[in-house]
Amino acid sequence: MNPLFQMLSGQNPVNAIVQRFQQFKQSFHGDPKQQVEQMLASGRITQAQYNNAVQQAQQLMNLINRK
Amino acid sequence: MALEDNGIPMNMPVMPAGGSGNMFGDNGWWIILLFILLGGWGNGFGGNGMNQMYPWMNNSQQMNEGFRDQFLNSQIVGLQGGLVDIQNAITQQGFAMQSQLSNCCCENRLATVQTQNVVQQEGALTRQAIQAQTQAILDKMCQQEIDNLKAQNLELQNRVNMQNLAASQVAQTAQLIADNTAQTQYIVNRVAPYPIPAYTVANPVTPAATGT
Repeated sequence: MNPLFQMLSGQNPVNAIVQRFQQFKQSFHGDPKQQVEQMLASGRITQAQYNNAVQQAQQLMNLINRK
Repeated sequence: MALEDNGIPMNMPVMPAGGSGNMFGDNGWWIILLFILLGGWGNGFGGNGMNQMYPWMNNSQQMNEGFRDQFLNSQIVGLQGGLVDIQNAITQQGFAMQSQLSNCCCENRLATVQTQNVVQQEGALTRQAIQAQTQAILDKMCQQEIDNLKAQNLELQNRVNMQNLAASQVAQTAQLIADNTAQTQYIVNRVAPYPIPAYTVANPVTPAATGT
């Protein structure tokens, strides 16, 4: 078993995150793209915060793709 | 505010090329939204309350939506905790791998030295065995050469002895023949003697003697 998973009590953290992500999606009603655009347009989040979120999302996708 | 004017790509930047093959599929905007919400707590958004971060909640504050939002909030907290756990695990694993690599390096060096010692010992033993075998072969060949020379020497001695014996026989035979001849001549002289001139004279019928 991957020693990384062993350190996480034998659970695959990626699968756990995916499961929670699916639950998050099901609980959220609306268009995520529209919500992000609205927050950016209304100034609730800054361009830097948006860019940071994009970067983190890319890192997460890389992690998921390497799994 | 137009998104294009700020340089924000309209295509999802984290969208994989083969989106259908990814476990998140085409959920890139979901992930960005999620990280925006996650970043909100860490960057001071929390102070604005749910109404600021979740504007879609402002429209109707019905009870069932309240429960739904609470559940949504708990899901986000869980995701955040999961990411932190992964980060901590990766960090710990990095340290562990560093230690393992260092230990592995030492073990490899030790194993290399031990292997060198074994090879050297085996090489020395092999050389000694080869030298011993070579010496044994040389000794054997030398002994065979000595035996061969001894046999040749014995054969030559026998030949010399035979030659000496043959020469002795010839001399003895010649001596016996000469003695036998002398005795025969003595017997003949005694049995049928014939005159023996007292001295030798010239031929009386030669011209010198007759004066012609």
